[in-house]
Amino acid sequence: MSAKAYFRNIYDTVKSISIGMSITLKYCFQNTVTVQYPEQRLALAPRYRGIHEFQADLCIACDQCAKACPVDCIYIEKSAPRKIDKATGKAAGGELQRFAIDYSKCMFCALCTEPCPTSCIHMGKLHDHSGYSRREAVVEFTELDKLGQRTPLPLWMDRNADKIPWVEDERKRIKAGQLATNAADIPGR
Amino acid sequence: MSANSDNTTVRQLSYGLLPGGLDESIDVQTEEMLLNMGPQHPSTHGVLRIVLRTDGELILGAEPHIGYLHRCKEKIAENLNYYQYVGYTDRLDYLAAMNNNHAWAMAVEKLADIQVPKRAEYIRVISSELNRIASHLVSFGTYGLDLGGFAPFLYAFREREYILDLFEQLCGARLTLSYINVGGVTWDLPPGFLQKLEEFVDYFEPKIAEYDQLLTYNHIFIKRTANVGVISRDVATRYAISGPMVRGSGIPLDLRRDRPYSVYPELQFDVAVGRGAQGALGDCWDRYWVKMEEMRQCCKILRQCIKQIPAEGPFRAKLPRAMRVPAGEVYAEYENPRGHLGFYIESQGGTMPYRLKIRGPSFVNLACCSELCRGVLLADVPAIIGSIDVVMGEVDR
Repeated sequence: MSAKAYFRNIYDTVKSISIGMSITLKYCFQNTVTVQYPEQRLALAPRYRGIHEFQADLCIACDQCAKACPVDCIYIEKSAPRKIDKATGKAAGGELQRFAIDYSKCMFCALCTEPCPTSCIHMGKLHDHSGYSRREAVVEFTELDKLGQRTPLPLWMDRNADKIPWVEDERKRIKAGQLATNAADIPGR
Repeated sequence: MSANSDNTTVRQLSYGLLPGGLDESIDVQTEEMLLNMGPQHPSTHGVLRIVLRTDGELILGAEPHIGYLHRCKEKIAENLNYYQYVGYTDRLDYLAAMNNNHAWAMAVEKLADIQVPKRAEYIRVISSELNRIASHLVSFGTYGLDLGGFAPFLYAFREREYILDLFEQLCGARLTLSYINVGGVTWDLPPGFLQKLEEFVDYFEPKIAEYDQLLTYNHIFIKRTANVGVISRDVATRYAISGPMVRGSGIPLDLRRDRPYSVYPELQFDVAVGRGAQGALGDCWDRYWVKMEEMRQCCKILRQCIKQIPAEGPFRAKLPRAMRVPAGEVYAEYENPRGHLGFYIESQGGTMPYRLKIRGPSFVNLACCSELCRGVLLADVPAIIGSIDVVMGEVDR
């Protein structure tokens, strides 16, 4: 390498690095965009596909969702056929003995929500279900329904509700059996 | 390196590293070394393992070993119906889930002869092109990372985050999208989406110039990539390379233009082709540059789609829930961000495929790795592998 090429290389390198650094420096004086989760959080999109919300009183246990599931993670047991009672708008007939989803298998594709004739299952807003064993990854929605909940409450949310305002709101809503997903959030078919 | 002279001893050494009990004939005097790069290595893009035969700094041979991420995708398809498999195509090339969904839907529609509504086709093209940008951003960001430039990665992921937010509004997921399904798309565009998309394109286009300053025309980057890993026209055709890799070698092969599908005939765009601007034609820099140029073309396509999309209309064809397709065979090709993605479906009627074969572009492109890495220096290997831009989810399937 000639002396000219050698110094040319050094010049080019320093020049292109300083161009890069000037861009970096430009961003150095801008506001930070980092959000300190869980104290703060970003809004989730209305169509967000999180852990399901299930309304046991509307479910007619028709097995459509379990059939649509590609990974067979929905377990449904019933004592007798159920159907929607026109007078009350709720499902009646046999008892819905079990409706469980195994979240160690679920891949959140939302294919189960499509065929539901009574719109009793849709994707919710929670994304941080946790437990101490694999067994706890199986969510028994019928058990939750007896507590008046439509979706499982994450452990951390239950324990830290008094520390973080938005968590307290969310906890109250879930405990009261309200939907985290609004009707407007559920995309039309 | 040199041919064995008479007084050197050649021994058969078995390292147990090559499959099938292939022993290496190694000249002990020159001390070649077998070096395992991967499967857990920061610059091999996933669980790719490359066995390098080195003589000092020089690479005598490189052999990719694959299969660490094999999940029997093709076999799984034989037990699922055509709608259900969409979730699995997300996980093939997980950086371009939308493109895989689109390719799968196209293959099934070709097999079952389904007409897709016009609006659905436009939504598909919009989401596919968005994902193409997102995929190229990861590719460009991690390529900088491979060569020691950390900053471009952060910039690339900032813009990618924007796209993922758009996807979240579109279908609720960010990575495993499952949005495009047989017959159309699962949900219509959310209100105000096209406006947000236009805002994104306006925001994104000037950023490409920023990437150029940061990485493309950085002197060190050019020195590391120009004239390295040159794929000649001959090699490209012999290995059936596709996507940005073949276009980097100056061959304008793009299925979106050559065998147009969906609404691509109605859209105007240029096929980015490498020109050997910084060194030999078909080197790592050319392949990189083609991806940057393609992002510009994606923006151009997106702008046209925003103008041309029908305001009203169905977004999914009416199909029975248990869809039975006629018996037959079909092969559908698709221009994935990494090359030609093909789904070959054999159906014997009924609701499930009898056999599925996936032609993954990363898998085919990876094959030329050993040819490219022969005779280069050790530090060039990450540059070459990075420019091949493999996604192991698709290589192993």
